[in-house]
Amino acid sequence: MADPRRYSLPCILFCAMLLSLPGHLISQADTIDIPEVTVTASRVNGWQPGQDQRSIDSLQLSFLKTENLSEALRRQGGIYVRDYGAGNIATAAVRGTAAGHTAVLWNGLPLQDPMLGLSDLSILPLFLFDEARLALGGGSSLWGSGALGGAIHLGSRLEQKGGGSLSYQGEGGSFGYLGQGLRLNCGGSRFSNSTKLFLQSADNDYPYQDIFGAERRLPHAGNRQMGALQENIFRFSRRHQVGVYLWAHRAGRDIPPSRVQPASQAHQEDEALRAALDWKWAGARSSWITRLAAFRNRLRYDDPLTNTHSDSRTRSVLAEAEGTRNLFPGLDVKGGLQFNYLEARSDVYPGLPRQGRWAVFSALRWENPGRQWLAVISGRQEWVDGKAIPFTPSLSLRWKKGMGFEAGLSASRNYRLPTFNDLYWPNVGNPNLRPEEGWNQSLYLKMGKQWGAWKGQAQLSGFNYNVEDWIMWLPEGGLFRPENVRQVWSRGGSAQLRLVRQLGRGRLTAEGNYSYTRSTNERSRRASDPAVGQQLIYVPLHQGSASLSWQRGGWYLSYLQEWAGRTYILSDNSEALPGFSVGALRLSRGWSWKLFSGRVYVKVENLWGENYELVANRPLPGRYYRVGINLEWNKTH
Amino acid sequence: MRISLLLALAATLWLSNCNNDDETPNPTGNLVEAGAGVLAINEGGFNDGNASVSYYQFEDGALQQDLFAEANGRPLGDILQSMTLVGDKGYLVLNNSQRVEVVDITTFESEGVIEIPGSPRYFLPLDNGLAYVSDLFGSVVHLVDLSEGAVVQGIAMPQGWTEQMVKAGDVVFVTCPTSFGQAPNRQLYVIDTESHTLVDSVDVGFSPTALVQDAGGMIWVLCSGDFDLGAPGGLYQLDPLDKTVLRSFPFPDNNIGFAPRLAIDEAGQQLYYTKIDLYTLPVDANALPSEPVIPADGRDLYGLGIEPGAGNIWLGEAGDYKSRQMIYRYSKDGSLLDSALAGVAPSGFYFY
Repeated sequence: MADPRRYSLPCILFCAMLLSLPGHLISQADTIDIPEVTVTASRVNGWQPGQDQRSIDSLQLSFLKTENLSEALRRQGGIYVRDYGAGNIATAAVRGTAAGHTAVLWNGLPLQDPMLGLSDLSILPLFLFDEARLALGGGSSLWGSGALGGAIHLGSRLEQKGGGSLSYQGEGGSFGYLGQGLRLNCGGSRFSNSTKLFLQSADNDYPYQDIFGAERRLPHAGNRQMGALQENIFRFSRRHQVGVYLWAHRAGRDIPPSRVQPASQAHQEDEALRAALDWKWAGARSSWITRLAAFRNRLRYDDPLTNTHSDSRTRSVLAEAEGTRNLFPGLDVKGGLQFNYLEARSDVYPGLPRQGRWAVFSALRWENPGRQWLAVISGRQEWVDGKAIPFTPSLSLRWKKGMGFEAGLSASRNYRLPTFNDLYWPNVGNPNLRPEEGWNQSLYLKMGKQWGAWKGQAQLSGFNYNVEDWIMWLPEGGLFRPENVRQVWSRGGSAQLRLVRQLGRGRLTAEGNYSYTRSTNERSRRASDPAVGQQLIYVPLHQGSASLSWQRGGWYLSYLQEWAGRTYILSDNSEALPGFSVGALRLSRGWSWKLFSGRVYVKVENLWGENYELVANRPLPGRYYRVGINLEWNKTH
Repeated sequence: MRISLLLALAATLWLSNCNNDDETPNPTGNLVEAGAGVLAINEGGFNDGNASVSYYQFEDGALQQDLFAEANGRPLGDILQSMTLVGDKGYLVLNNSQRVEVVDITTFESEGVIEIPGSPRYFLPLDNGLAYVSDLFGSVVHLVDLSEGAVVQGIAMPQGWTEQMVKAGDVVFVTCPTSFGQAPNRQLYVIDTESHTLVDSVDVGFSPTALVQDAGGMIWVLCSGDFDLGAPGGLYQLDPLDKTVLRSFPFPDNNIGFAPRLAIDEAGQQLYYTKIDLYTLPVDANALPSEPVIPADGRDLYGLGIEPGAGNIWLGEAGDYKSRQMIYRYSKDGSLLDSALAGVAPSGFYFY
C-alpha cells in the first residue's frame, strides 16, 4: 500500500515555489458558452430551447480535469450521483428517475452499455472532453432510448484558426492518486486535429470504519485507467467537412469490500474502442450531416470469492443522416433517419442476442423576427426488430425579454428500451417487456440584473414527470425476474442564484443552488406493498450546493459546500442514509510568459472530514489533498 | 432544605419501585424468554447491512425488532442466512459478512465471532466441541473448533455449493444444490464426523436443497429440480443407515420457486414445504398433496417454521428485498391467526 502522504511534501514545496512567481491574469471564461446557431447540421445544440441546460463552470472544471464525470456532476442541482467510491461504478439519476434514464451522449452518440442500459461515469475522464453539459428534461424525441429524465452531452472543440497548442495537466495527492493528461491541438482552415492521452491511477486505501466498529483502511481498492482520443476534421471546401474520431479506453479496477464485508477479491476490467466518421455539408439554406459510428465494449468481472467470472463483449453500429433546411426566414425544418445495431456476446447469455433499431425523427423550429420567441416541435418513431414502439413527440418553447429575462417551457413523451439483461438473462429474461415510457413537463425562468458593481442571475425551474411500465427485478412466480410493474411520479423544482461583484481588480462570485425532488412509487403488483406512495430509494428530497470564489490577477480561491438531505435506501422508506454536508477548498495561481502559460492548484476535498456515503455501506474518503499543475504552449494565429 | 431533598429522594425511590413491574419486564436484561415467542430472522438486503432478528411474543402479539442491535449497540451484519440454537446459545450465520455471530439467546448479547473465510450458509454443531459450516461458493464444508472460535479445516466437496446439513449417527448428510453455470447435481453427500472426510453420496433428485429428519430417524430431502433440463424436483425419503432411497415423490412440475423450504413439526410426523404455495405431507403418506394448505395468493413466501406444541405455521414474505415485510402465523389447518411487520426479507423462524 502506498503512503497517502508520499506525494504531499515535494508537491507542496513545488507549488509554493510556483505560487510565488509573478503572474498575469490568465483569461478564463466563466462558463463554456455554446454558440447559438440558426441553421445547424446537428441537433446537439439549439433544438431544445425550452429545456433547463446547465454547462459546468469552466473554472471549476479546470480543477477536475484529471477526474471523472461523476465529480463534475455531483454539485449540479437536480441530479443524484450514485457513487460507490474508490473509482468504482458511479451513475447519475436526474430529477428522481433511475440511473438508466439519463442518456450520456458523446457528440450526440449514445454511450450507454446495451447490456446494462447505463453509462459508468467513473470511466469517463473529464480530460477527454472540452464541453460537459447537463440537459434536464426528456429528450427522446431527439435522442431516443434512455433520455427519459435528462441527458449529459460531452464534446470537444477543435482549433479552426490555425496554429496549435500543447498542454499537460498532472495531479497527485492522497491515497496514491495520480492523474495525467496530454493534449495536442493543431489545425488550420483545411485540417484540425485534437489528440488527448490520459492516464490515471489510485490506491484508494483511505481509512473507514466497518459496521462492526473496526477502523480499517480500504483494502483491494486500487484502480488504473488510460484513454486516447483523437479527433480529426478535414475541410474540403467551405461547404464540406469530414470528421474522423477514434477513442480507445481501458480501465482496471479492484472492487473493495463494502462496510459489511471483511474482504473482497473482485476485479473488473473495462475496455472500449469507439470510432466515428461524419460528413457535414452546409449550404446557404440547408445542411446535412451523416454519420457512422462503431463501438466495441468489453467488460470482464472476476470474483474468486463468489466464483463469479463473466466476460461480456458488446458491439454496436449506428448510422444516421440528418438534414436541416431553412424554409422561410425564422422557420427551419429537420428530418433524420437512424439505424442502430446492437449485439452482445457474453458467457452469461445462452445465445448471441442482437437488436436492430430503426428510427425516423423530425423537428420544426420557428423563431420570430424579433427573436424573442423560439419554438421547436419534434417527434420520433422507432422500430425495434421491426416492432413499433410508442411515438414520442416533444414541444420546447423559449421566450426572451430584453437581456435579462428568459422563460422556457417543454413537454415531451420519452422512453427507455429494456436492456439486454432485462430481455435475455438466462431463464428469467423477459422478452415481452415493454419500454418504460412517460410524459414530462418542465419550465424555467431566468432573470439577470446589474446593480452598480453587482451582477446577479437567478433561475427557477419546475418539473413534473410520469413514468409508466418502470422495470423492476422482483420475485415473480418463484423466479427473480424483470417486470413492467412500477409507475413513478416525480415532481419538484430548483432554484439557482449567482452573484458577481467587482472588487477593485478582483472579482467575487457567490453561487448557490437548491433542488427539491419528490419521486414516488405510485403503483405496485400488490395493494399492500409498503413501497406504494413512498419516495424512491436514492432520491434525496432536498439537495443543494453553494460556493464562494475570489479571483484576482492570476489567483483564484474557491470554497464549495455540497449538501443533501437523507436518502432512503429501502423502498418502504424504513431506512435511510443520513444527510451530509461536504466542504471543499480550491486555490490556484496562473501565469503566462510569451507563448507559455501555466497554472498550479491545490485542492482540499471533504474539508471538514465528513463521514458520509452516496451508496449504502460504500465509504467515501474523509479529508484529502490534491495538487496539480497545468502547462500550456499555445501558438494560434 | 435538607429535609425536602430527602423527601424528594424518598418519593422518587418509592415511585420508581411502584413502576418497576410494568415498565421493565426484563430487569435482568433478558430479551427472549423460553417458550414465550418466536425468533424471526430477517436476511436483509445484499450489502445493505440490515440483517436482523425480530421477536414475536405469543402472549400479546408484540413484535420487537432487531434484538441484536438492541443488546449490542451495533448492527448484526449482512445477509443473515440461518440461525442454529444449541442450548442457550444462538449461532447466527451472516453470509455476506463472512462470520458466525455467537449470542446468548436470552440476552442476545454477543459472546464471540467466528470468522468464516468464504460465504457461510448453515451451521451444524457436532458433539465434541466442533461444528460444520456450509458454503455457497467454496466447494467446501468448514470445520470449526468452537473453543478456538475459528475454522480449523476445510472438507473438500465435489460441488461448488454446500447447503443444509443433518447429523445421523456418525455421519452428516449435506445437500448441494446445483451452482449457477455448473453441471446439474443429483447427489446428497455424506461426511464422516470422525475423519471429517467425504465418504459417500446418494443419488436423489436434481439439485438437493433442504433436508430434515423425521421421528423414525429417516432423512427427507427436498430437491429443487433443474430449470435448464426442465426436470422437476421432488421429496425423497432415505434411510441414513444403508443410505438407500426408500420413497420418492417427484413434483408434477418445475414450478418450485426461488427459495423452496422444508420443515417438520416437533413430533417429526408432519412435513411442510413450499412450492410457490405451502403444502403439508404426513411422513407416512403415499402421495403428494394436490392442494396447498396455505396458498401464496400473490405473495412470495420466504421463511417457514413450525411452532412446537400447537403446530402453528409461520411464514415470511420476501417482497422486493428492499423493504420490511410481513410474517404470518397460521393454525396448522391453514387459518390465519396473526401477522406482523418484521424486518427485510424474513427468511426463517426459530423457537427457544
